[in-house]
Amino acid sequence: MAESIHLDAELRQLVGKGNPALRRSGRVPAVVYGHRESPTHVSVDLKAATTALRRAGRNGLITLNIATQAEPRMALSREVQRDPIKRTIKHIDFYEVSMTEKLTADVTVVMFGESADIKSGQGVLLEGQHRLSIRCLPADLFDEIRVDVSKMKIGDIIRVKDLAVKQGVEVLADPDDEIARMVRYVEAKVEEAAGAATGDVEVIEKGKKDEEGTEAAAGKPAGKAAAPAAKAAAPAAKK
Amino acid sequence: MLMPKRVKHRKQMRGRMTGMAKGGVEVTVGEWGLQALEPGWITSRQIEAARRVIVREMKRRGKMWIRIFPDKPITAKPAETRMGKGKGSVDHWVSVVKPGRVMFEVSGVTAEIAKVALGQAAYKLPISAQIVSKDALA
Repeated sequence: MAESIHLDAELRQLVGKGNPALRRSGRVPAVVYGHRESPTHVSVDLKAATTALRRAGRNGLITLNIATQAEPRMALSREVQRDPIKRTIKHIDFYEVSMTEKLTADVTVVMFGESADIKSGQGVLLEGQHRLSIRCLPADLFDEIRVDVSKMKIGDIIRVKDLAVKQGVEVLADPDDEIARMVRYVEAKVEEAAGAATGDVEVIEKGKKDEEGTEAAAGKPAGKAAAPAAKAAAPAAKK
Repeated sequence: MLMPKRVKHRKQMRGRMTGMAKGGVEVTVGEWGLQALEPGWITSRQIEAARRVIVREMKRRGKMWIRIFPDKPITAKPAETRMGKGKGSVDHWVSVVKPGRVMFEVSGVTAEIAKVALGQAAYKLPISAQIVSKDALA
């Protein structure tokens, strides 16, 4: 189990429209839910939260010390809302866990190593699943499953049942699901783009489509095209 | 070029592009992405130009994804036409992009190649954009 990560929190009264003001003061709104009866609204320091989340990773346990409460709470960060561009944290969901009850979490599948076939350019590694669900006690949680692909040859497949996970951890996936497959490299055929920018687009409404179709085919474009031509012809006639 | 196969309404109003992107702000399938920093309309021609330059820079290795689709019709009147007589005909198709939107993604190539390819693609777009990695957005 990794080092314990502590984060100080305060109960907050500002909710909903009060949150922007809270963020301007350097704090991040958060909610703690899970094992207790009702969710608790808290706020945490932005810098401390950023550091704690970075250290904890996806499945790291965080010890929340809420100011007015005597006992600390063990929690996982479940959903972290971030600013799309600056990536600063806007809101955190803390999921409180019981250390004696199993829980479900997602772990990332990380491939490492480079096989001889990839080095020679003959093979391509197709990654089947980037993330797997596992079920275990909070103390056994981990962030990623590392898969060595350096010894794979063309035609080799690594499946869920081939993964080495520690005792007490259950992978919630079909044992025959593919994690990685090595195939022979085939150059892709790139289709050249064809057709006009606007083209003919079908309009879903019935009736209207036919009406417009006939209109476009017969009258409108011809009429519009004819108008500038007539204009151009008029000055020439005057001369 | 990209355009819808069928639409519910042939012509649309222009609309507004206020605020940030609500979805599509993460690099999901690839390892590197090109993220919009400004709002704008990206035409199907610009998407195609960006796609071509990415494919060329990646030398047809790796994989790329286009995360935006031009589903908004833009109308225009013919040149030297008097005003009136109704709305013009559909001229081209655009995708409405707001800040934060990841427009292109690549994977299966080195970081250097991915950055060059996406950087070249950014030159083809009418808005400023930044290159982001999957890890940076985690």
